[in-house]
Amino acid sequence: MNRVFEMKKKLMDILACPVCKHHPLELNVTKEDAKEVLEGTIRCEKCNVDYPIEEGIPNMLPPESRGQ
Amino acid sequence: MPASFDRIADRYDETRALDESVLQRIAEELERELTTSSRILETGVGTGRIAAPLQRCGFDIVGLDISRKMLSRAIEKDVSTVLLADITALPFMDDSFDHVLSVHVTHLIGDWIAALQEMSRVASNRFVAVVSDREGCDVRAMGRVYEDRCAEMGFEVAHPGIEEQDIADVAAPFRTVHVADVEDGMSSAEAIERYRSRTYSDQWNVPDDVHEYAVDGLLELFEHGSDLKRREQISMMVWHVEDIRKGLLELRR
Repeated sequence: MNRVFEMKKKLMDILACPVCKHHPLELNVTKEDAKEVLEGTIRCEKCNVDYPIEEGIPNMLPPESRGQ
Repeated sequence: MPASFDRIADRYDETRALDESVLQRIAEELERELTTSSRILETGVGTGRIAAPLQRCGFDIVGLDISRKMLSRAIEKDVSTVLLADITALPFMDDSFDHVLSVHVTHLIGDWIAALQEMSRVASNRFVAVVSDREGCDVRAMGRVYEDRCAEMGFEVAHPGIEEQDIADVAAPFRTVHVADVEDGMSSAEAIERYRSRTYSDQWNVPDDVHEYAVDGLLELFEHGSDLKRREQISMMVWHVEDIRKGLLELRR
């Protein structure tokens, strides 16, 4: 198991959808380096919503709060 | 949504400076209070000024904020796990953390009851706040003048939420520990400039004409004044999460 997966898995173990609190969420990685997932999404299947990971930071703001 | 600190991220650490020794004292007090193997959520982690030394002490910290720029600063300080999230809609399962840490956050949250509900939902053991008392210092006195001038123009300068120390009205903390007394100073010109450039979050909604009138008042009173003393008494307050849950239930009745 590489370090990226270990670190994110620890967070994925506790992450829930901020809106419906569904768990588990699904991690999709599109870009990573040796330390961190840089780009990707964290998906709530129940709400059908993707929460983006940008520049290594997951954006778990409820969809209606993004961009404010 | 609470106000984002994106606008102040580049200046935050220099305008809310706590020197390394004070940050270390805070970390040491937390180390005394909490076991270092425990998992902590810091809400409003900001630039990581508290989380970074705690992480160096061995705490397992997850930090959240609504400001991406502030989180980028935290990453620069090697805070390992940060995310954008709303304190009133936390993206965690119940009891995900042992403790929640809140440092100068709840005054920014209009729906502070929802924030307390969420924080006490995701933690199982303790709610810890680091609080500051700045009453009686010269810089705070300047703030009062600014607020009074705004009031003259019919605008009340106020934060939307409650200070962490006022959570004591919801539930009594089981421990309050004095951490440090900070005393330093700054020139009148620097203090005025901080107000002029809207450094403090309670200024961000002040209309331009009211703000200008208030800053004129500061210039009249302080422009040629001597250096100002800044005093800050820093304490740590600790609650059982269960007591906050019960206190919130009482509030609803």
